[in-house]
Amino acid sequence: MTSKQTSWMNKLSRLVFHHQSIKGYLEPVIQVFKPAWRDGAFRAKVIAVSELSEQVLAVELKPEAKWPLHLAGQHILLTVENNGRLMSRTFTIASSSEQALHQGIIRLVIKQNALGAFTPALNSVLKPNLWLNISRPMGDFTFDANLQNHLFVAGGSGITPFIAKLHEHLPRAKSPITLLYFAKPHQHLLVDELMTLADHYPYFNVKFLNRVEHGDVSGQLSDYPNHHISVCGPQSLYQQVASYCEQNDIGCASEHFAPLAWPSSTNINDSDGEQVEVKHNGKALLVDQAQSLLMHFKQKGIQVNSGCGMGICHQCQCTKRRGIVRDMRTGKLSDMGEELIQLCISQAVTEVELES
Amino acid sequence: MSKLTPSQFDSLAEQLNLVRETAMAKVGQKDASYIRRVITAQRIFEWSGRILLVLGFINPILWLVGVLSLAIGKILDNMEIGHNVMHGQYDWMNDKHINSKSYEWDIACDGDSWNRVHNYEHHTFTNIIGKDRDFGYGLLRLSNDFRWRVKNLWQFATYVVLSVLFQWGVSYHELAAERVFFGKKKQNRDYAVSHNQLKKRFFSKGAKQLVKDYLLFPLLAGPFFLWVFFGNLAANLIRNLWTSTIIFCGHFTGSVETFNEQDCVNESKGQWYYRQALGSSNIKGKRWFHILTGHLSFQIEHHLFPDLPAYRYPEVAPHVKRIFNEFGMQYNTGGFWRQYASVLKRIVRYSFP
Repeated sequence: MTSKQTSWMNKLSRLVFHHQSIKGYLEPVIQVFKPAWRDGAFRAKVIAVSELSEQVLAVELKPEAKWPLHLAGQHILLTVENNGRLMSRTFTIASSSEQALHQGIIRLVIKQNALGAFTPALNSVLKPNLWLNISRPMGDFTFDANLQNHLFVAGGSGITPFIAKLHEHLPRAKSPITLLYFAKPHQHLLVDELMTLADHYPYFNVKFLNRVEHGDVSGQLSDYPNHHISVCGPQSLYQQVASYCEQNDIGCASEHFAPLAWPSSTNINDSDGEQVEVKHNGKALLVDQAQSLLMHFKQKGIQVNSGCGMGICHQCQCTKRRGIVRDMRTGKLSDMGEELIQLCISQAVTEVELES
Repeated sequence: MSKLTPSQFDSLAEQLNLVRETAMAKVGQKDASYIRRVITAQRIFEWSGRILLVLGFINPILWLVGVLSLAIGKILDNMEIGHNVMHGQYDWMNDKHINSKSYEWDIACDGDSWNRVHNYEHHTFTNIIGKDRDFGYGLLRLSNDFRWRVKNLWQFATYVVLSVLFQWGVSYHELAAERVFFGKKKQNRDYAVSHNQLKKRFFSKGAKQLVKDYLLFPLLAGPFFLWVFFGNLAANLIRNLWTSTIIFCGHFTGSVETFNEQDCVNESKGQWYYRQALGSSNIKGKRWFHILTGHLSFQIEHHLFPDLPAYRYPEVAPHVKRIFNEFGMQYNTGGFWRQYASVLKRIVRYSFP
């Protein structure tokens, strides 16, 4: 359907069915025949789930035929239904677009965080033949084959875009590609696969590094003058590489993640603990956990709808884009991802982004 | 409000909180699948109904079945889906179409207006005279808290008209209370929504409903315009009578109590539960009946736990009843005809001084 047709259908849907989109109106009916069929998302079927090492899963998915092919280095939003609740997280595709084209398969390599709400649930949720949702491929952390001498710097699970790029481009590589892979000792992912690639392709060289034995990344980079640097990993690794590139006036492609830290036991338990930043419709303010978000907003003169003040009426409902909040009635912590919350019964436990 | 001691109120709150938490802990896949099944059934009833209305020319029985099917579609949309989803009972699913922020229902009343008057005012201030404008809807005198006026003499007729036009009554409710068109404007009202906004939403949602049911679908039926026109009219009428009747049985049976504002200042959670309990009444019935009432046949449980997925009310009801017994509180329930007769009696009784 063209976008013009879709928008016309959606107008009709708003008039006749009071739904923002016709797909949304039909969704539960179509799901009877096509599990996980969802407005605004693509379907994919789980082909295999395997444990690469402790708390590291490799998930092979077969996206539906109309899914647009990815470029190595791009990521997707993965949505699964866990006990009735839709949960989404972003993952980089750890396989080449050629594999997607010829075998119809993409692979995700997922490092599980024991304290998180999403990744630990995947063991029980992801079973072969299950249908789930993926977004179209996103991101521009891709490979420029016209450049010579690539230096990849990966940290931890930041290896995933590089493994996709290596699979995709090594067969055609005409100049060296070097990978400096930092992780905690003995926690490097995909070691065998990387070694096999290094054995097979003379242009490829990999070094498995850890900070304890090899020091910071900055010490390594000077060995690779005239290289085009790409970095993917935690914020700290990215910053070191970025400042090296800036000092030496060289370009640097990057994909870095600054995930919200899971709250420490201090801010979970301490009701008058430290303040955290809350962004509401783009405006930032600092709040503590002594009272609800609604009380903070009122005290600071921020206009929001409100009602009962006890979590009944949903007048003060906001969309939480990210961050963890506590339900003051039960003490239960929320998921990190996007969901609706009521300001009057919520306290910010980590940094939180809200939209009214 | 002082029938229980403060410590009894605390104990009541503790026990009811436990019932809520135990039920909430079970909420999951079963509930998500349930609401999606109900939505699927709603689509099937609605579309079968709309098609059968056109086929009325083959045999009028088909038209009659069509009317019933469309009415059931509208009732499911308004009650088990719309009312409950808009209470946030399914927000935890994180589904972008099944949540209280985005759901809009097949009824003349604008969803946001409903959320303000129903979810906020009615559910927070249930049966507090002067604060819960749902008590008598500003049209009926249902307790001695209101001064008797001559117009109350014919309030039974007013009630019948309200029931017949119930969707428009619900839609106009907030505008009437805010004196948008008629009546003396109230001074110093702290209200977030402007009169213009209220008018705009009222006319835009109302017009959509009228265009859809009485112009668009009849026109689509071509030569069978009138079959569809009157079919939609009949289905809307059945839905109006059904929802009005169920809702009246939930709050206006004979022994439902009212409260005054002073009693509810600095109310504890236990006192709030107590007021919800005595301000509501249930209707006994079979499973299909409960589904068609949107489980408002468990009005008591709904008022205690408005954000618990409603089809779990039958599961928590025995616990609620046991707790009420323990505290010597009335658990107001009865068969449909008994409860309805009690409502009618109340309307007639307070027609007179």
